[in-house]
Amino acid sequence: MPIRETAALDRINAITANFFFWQGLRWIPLGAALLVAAWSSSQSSPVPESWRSTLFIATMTVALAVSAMIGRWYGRSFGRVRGIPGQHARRTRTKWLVVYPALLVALLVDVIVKPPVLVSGITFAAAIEAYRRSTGGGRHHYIIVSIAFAALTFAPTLGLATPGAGALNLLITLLGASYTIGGLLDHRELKRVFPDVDDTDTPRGAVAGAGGAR
Amino acid sequence: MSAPFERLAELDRLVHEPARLAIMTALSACERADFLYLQRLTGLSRGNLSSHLSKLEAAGLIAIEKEFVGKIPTTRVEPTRDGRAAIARHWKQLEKLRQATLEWTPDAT
Repeated sequence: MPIRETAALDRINAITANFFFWQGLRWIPLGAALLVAAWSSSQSSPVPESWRSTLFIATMTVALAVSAMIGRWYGRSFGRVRGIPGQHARRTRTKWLVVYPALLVALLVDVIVKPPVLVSGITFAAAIEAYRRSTGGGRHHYIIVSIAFAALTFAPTLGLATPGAGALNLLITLLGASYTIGGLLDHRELKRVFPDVDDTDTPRGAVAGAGGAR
Repeated sequence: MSAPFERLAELDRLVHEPARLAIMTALSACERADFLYLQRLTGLSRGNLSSHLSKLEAAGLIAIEKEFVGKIPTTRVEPTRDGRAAIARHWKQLEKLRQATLEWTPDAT
């Protein structure tokens, strides 16, 4: 079996096991909500400080509702997959026991200690690469996103943001942009892997169809 | 030691057919998937996919269940225990074959 076809089958396996994570349009409303949060918390924002939490909760609620609607659209357009119970147990354990605590500690260090570098930048970079690898690989745009987060580490040193709140606001902006652009690119990659259905009954190479665009 | 080409004959033809291999590979990565998902993933027409699924079902490698989600009829496809074992065995054979091909020299036969 040619290597190209074996790679296509590996991709089929990876996408099926991680189908939820490849439904990129789901992430766009969440990205938009984060961008609103970053904008409303910025120094030039016209939003009064007392309204910011309410605005964040309201936009996040709308974003989650829209994201769920998009999820139903994916089911109608691309079909549904039920994962093997416990398939992501290791990933979930690592996420809760290592990744989230590391992100929290990094954020606390940046807010409380206000070091000359943004510790959250490099921590988010590692978390995003771990996310990409653990959810089926591919999606090389996340490598660029990781590099952008790693570069953000030096934003306070380079004078691009003040240590503490200013740098964190920049981080949330980048996170919101990453969700939005990354989501669009995830969807584009999903569309390339899932060819449009040709319902005329002519034979087509299934494996070539699944991986032909790569 | 047999040449890698001779080992090709040992492969399960039912599973090795490209469309069915793609279907079984996808199903091995999940508990179940619906017809639309398999159709989008393989790019097969409805008729072709149905035909491949019927063959896999007849061989006892998958189970097909039809039901309504709201008012929409849905076909759900689930690999059986034999089906999971067959695809795992098949991938193992392909891996061995690949390895044998890399190591094979005409003198070794």
